[in-house]
Amino acid sequence: MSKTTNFSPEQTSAHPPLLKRRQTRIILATIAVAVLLVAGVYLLGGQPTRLVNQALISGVLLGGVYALVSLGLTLIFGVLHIVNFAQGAMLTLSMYTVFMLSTQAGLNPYLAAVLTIPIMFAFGWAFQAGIMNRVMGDTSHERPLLVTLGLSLLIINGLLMAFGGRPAAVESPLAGSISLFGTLVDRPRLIACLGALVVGALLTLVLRKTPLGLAIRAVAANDTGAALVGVNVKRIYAMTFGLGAVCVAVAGGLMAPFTSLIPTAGEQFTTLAFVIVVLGGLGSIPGALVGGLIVGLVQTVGSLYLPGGGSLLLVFVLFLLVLFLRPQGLFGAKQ
Amino acid sequence: MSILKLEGLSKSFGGLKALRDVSIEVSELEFLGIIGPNGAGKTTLFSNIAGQLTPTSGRVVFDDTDITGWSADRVAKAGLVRTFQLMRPFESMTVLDNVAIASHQKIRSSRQARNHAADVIERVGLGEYMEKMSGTLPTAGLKRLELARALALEPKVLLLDEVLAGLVPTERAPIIELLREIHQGGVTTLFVEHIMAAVMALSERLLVMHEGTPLMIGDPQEVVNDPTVIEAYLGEDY
Repeated sequence: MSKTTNFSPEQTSAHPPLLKRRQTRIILATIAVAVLLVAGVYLLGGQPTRLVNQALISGVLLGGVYALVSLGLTLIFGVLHIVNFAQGAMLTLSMYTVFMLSTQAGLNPYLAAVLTIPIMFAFGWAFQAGIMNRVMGDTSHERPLLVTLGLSLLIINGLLMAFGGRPAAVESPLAGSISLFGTLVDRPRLIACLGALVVGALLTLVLRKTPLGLAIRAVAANDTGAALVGVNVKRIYAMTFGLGAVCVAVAGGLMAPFTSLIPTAGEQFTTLAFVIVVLGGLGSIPGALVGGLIVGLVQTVGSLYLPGGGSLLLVFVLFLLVLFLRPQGLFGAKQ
Repeated sequence: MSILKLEGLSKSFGGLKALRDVSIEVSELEFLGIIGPNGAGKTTLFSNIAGQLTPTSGRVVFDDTDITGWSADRVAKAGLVRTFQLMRPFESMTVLDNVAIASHQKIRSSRQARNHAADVIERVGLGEYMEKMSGTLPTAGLKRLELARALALEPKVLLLDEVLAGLVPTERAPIIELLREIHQGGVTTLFVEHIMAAVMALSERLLVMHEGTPLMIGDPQEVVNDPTVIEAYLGEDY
């Protein structure tokens, strides 16, 4: 049997593995295309080098945060096979939690962000254990999907009731810029991107090395088989949703200092994270990371040519292009 | 002493009665063969015992505990473990990881669980595939992996659903030998199988299922020589 495939002919699976080992070719191809495009922008783009530098760095920073939000979405999809429509609203909820903790309790926003992690984990865990596990059956994928949509509406409108629609702001004690490669980099954005990378690495470590991670990967691969070896599948579902919520808790906490806080602030992220996750391959963790970076870069570099919302147009064009050439996404399993 | 007792177990799917009033007792350390034509309810019986399905009525008593309606993972952890005819490996994970998940249900320490898993893998003869992705194993290897995962839970009772299906005759003999070793190592075994040579070689008692209900249970030789059984369930080729 060929070594490049993880699937024997009679055991085809529609679910891509959360973590996959042999993906060097895709990674190299993606890097090659990205380098070519960036070189093209520098040499033929007709923009000052300094501006392109700035766009690239902003893109990487933005992409890191995108990747973190998408990581939660792809993890939940990989294990529960459900698209969590509340991902964006949960992001907003995290930001408001940080807002409350920092303005009402007077905590440092970054300490508040750390405190938001257990709060959101408990929220995600309780939502899955208390509600989702009851509506998830063998028959219907629509019911749990609609429940996440309902949760999203509930969160947004709950926040509207509590805080109103006027934008709020979280002041970062580390506000300001530092100079990097001759460009100015907003410090809170740099911290957010680094935080996203750290959490992404930690999550990968948990999935690869711990008994919990082993059980999560087993449920993602085959839930019947996992139950057969004594894994409590519903408990793993709840832990996974909790971890997915932790991703948005960290992302929300780190983004709060540079986001204009309104109850619908996270909404665009549900769509963007979905695009990123499909681009990278549904249920694939490296896919979410790479997808996040790509979308971040396309958006910022694209805004050099199409200012305003126009850069999102480029994101969707790229999305369609990838779907056309590689329908399973960059890191997705062939079905 | 009986380790597994089924009392009036029934299962209906709408109007279809897949199991009808099944009452059997399995003694500790027994090897019970189960045969019957397709659709007789053999796999459904296993699913109702092991928690993949909940019985419509009746009771499953395992080791003096009523486990009727327990979830599959709880039944497995209690020591009543089944395998599936179609294997359920975690394809993108190594053989060692596949088995370690089962070991972790019994052992907290990560290192001890991995050592335990490695021992079990050696025992079923997959030692050289330890770090291979399980999806790359050939069918016979997957069968051994399925057995290793079951054994890692240190079962008291094994429910084996057609472990020999899909194997060529030369691959069967070593698996049959392995099943014999497992049984002699102190595991009560229920063995659903179509390969009659294996059933006759291993079984101490033989149960014939027919239309969801036990038709006959007893000494394998007597059962297969019974005229009604021969006529209805073994066909002309036995």
